[in-house]
Amino acid sequence: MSKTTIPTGGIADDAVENTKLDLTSDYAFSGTITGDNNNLVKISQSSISAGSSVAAIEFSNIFSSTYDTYFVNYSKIRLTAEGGLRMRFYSDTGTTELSGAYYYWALYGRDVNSADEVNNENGGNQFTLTGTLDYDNPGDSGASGHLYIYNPLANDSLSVIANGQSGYRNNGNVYSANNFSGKYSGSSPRYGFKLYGSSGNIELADVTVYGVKT
Amino acid sequence: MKAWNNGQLRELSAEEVAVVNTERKAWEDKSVERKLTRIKNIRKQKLMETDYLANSDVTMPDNIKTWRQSLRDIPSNHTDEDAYDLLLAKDSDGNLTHTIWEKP
Repeated sequence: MSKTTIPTGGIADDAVENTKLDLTSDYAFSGTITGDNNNLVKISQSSISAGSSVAAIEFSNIFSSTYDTYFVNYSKIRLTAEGGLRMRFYSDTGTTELSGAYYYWALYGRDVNSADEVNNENGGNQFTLTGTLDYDNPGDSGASGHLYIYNPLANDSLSVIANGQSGYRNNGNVYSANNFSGKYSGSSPRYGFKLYGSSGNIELADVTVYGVKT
Repeated sequence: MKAWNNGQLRELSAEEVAVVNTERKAWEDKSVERKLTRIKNIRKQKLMETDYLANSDVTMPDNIKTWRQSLRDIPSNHTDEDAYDLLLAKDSDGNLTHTIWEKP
């Protein structure tokens, strides 16, 4: 028999850690939220701390039939060398990269050198989400932004990406800002993706992937 | 060389490292090209700032004409990476330092 309300005396004195339930305390919840309130669900998070250095941040086998849209929030991304932030899909549940010429995208921004940066590719081998970034000083904000990925598993549909990014470099007191949109036009499903720099490693980052039910 | 995969550090295979290095080299090989593009974008912005002086109801001063022509001549008068670096040099406040960018 299922219950939707807690009856009088329904919670025993030793229900939580052998004490009465204290509504002013914090309790860890390890269950799964079901029902209609799971329209935006955090799926995965990767954080690269200062002093670490990796070639890429990978989210393999992250896309499933549960969601049609994915929201990716990234913050404080720093590369060890001057370059743009790039993205590429995986063709399987592992890390087999889709590097064929199916990436169509356009970028308009202002790079960290205070110059307009206009770029596009009609059939590139990856997305370049930002213009040139140069955030490798302790006072730099790094690159922060977000992107949406639509229908990555549909082999008869395009994965459309929208991305907005901004950042600040302390040395030179300059801002960068980029707007990007793109589509992946290959026919095979995409099961995951990676973020990486066109040059150098990622030395600082916080990236979270959310599934969105539409 | 390592990657951060779903919250776990993993070592890239030799094949993956080779791909990464090849792609990074391709990026580096286009460094000069990117610098020239950046210079042309700056030049475009500088020219646009005085485009209004080309209107028929305005007389463009000779020193502005000379300056605009010097901007147009950048690709022919500055032809190597060292020259590009000088054109892109900035002070600690992020301002371009080459005199060619200074509007008379």
